[in-house]
Amino acid sequence: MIPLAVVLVLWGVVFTLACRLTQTSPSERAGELSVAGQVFGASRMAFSSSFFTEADNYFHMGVGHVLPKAITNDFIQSWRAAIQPSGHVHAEGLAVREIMPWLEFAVRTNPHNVDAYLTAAYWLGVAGRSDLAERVLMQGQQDNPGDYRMLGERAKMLFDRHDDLKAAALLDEALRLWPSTLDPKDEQALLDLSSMLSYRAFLHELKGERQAALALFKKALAASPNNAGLDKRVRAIEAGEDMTEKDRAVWNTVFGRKMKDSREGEAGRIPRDDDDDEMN
Amino acid sequence: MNRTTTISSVVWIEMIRRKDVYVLLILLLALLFILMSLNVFGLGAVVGYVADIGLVFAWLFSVILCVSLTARQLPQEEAKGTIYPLLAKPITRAELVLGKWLGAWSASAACTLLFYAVILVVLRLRGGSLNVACLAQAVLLHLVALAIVGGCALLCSTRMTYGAAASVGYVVLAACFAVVPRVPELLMYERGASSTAMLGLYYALPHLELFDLRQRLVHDWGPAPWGVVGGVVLYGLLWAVIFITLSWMAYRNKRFKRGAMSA
Repeated sequence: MIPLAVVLVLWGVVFTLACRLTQTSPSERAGELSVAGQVFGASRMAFSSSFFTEADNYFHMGVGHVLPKAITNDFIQSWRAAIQPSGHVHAEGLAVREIMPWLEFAVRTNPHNVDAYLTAAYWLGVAGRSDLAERVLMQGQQDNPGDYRMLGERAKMLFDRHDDLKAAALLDEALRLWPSTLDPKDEQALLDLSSMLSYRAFLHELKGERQAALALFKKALAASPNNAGLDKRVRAIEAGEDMTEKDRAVWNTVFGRKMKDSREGEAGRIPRDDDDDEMN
Repeated sequence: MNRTTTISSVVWIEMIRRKDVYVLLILLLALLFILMSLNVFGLGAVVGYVADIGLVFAWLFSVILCVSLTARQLPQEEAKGTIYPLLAKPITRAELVLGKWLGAWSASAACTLLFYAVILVVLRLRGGSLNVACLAQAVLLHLVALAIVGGCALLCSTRMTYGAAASVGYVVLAACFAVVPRVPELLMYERGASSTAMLGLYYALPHLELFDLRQRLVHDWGPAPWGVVGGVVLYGLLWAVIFITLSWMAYRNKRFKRGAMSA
């Protein structure tokens, strides 16, 4: 009887432990890591980086980066040059889709590989699939909630679709999150900041909020001091000049958007404050 | 030549019996179907990565098969004691070595062709295709590379057990694939003894990267110049002859002791 009792007690302990241990999924216990993440650990970042490099290799049609060599004139190197793809070529048209699987692998192995998300979204946009591009950016945003880059790119897509209210909201949030994990002095981070500030300032100008626009253009100029277009816009606003037709055409080109005159109706456009005054 | 081919046929029978090739084939099929089932960002009809990864694994599996098959032959005969009745027959050691190499290479080559066939079928199902001339060159060079791989494993197996021969073979081949092609770039930053060692590796080991036409095939660059392919084939055959000759030289005066090569 005593051994049976011991067995029953031990079984009860094991059962209780099993109930406690299986209350949360393995991924939650490991801090939101997938099974692959737990198996591969930090090496998944190396895999992700390799997959991203492979995507770049595919974009260049299998031509690798050219590195300086100490041996260039023997028969091995000449055969190798004849056999391996060479030249500066880029995938075009439908061939660009071939880089997508590698970007997919890159984000699956490391959901924090923001560059992979952004590159995938960019090329999906170029391929005319802005719906898929936005879906990718939203997934990236979900995996990297503190990163401004996804928000900035989404804002630009909404800007192109003339969804100015949402674009403005996303830009404000992206600017709040800048520089996220990047170094504030990083060249790309400063370019992103200047770009987002410019877009936001342009949206202010569309609403007729010139002072708000001026403040943001000045910040953008501080981030990109050599930008002649920004410098010209700041001076123009400070001088009280209105946006001329030529300015409008230039900014339309810069922001890649066909903008009509502010007095004409346009779906999704934020109305200017002085429109009502003039009509009254 | 009849004695050589008879020994080769025994290698074939062993390969079929051991079922290694079935496992690798099933692994390849499983991998390809997993790749095909991926929904890449909602896009469809993307096939380049299926071909690329499929060819990588075809290379990997063919090398594994070739090394394991070749490295096993002589040590197994010695471990089981069947080397004695074998050499008691009117067969020279050169014929024995050549027959073992020929059997292992031909069996590995047949399996490699099977791997390529599987990849092509899967690609067709996905709506993709490969340039025929480039594919023919890729297959030809792959088979010649396997001749070198088999020769290298055979050389190791003349004086080592199966495990040691296979391990050394894999290390040497890994160096041939991964290190030797990068020596010209690494030499830009090395001086002295390390530079000399690297140059030694560069000239002493076969350049297996010359036999790899995957990038050309996957990215549709068309066939390579046939003159260059012919030169690479001759280069590969020369290396195979060197390895087989060295294997014969290592084996011709070898004395056997019962139980000495037991695993």
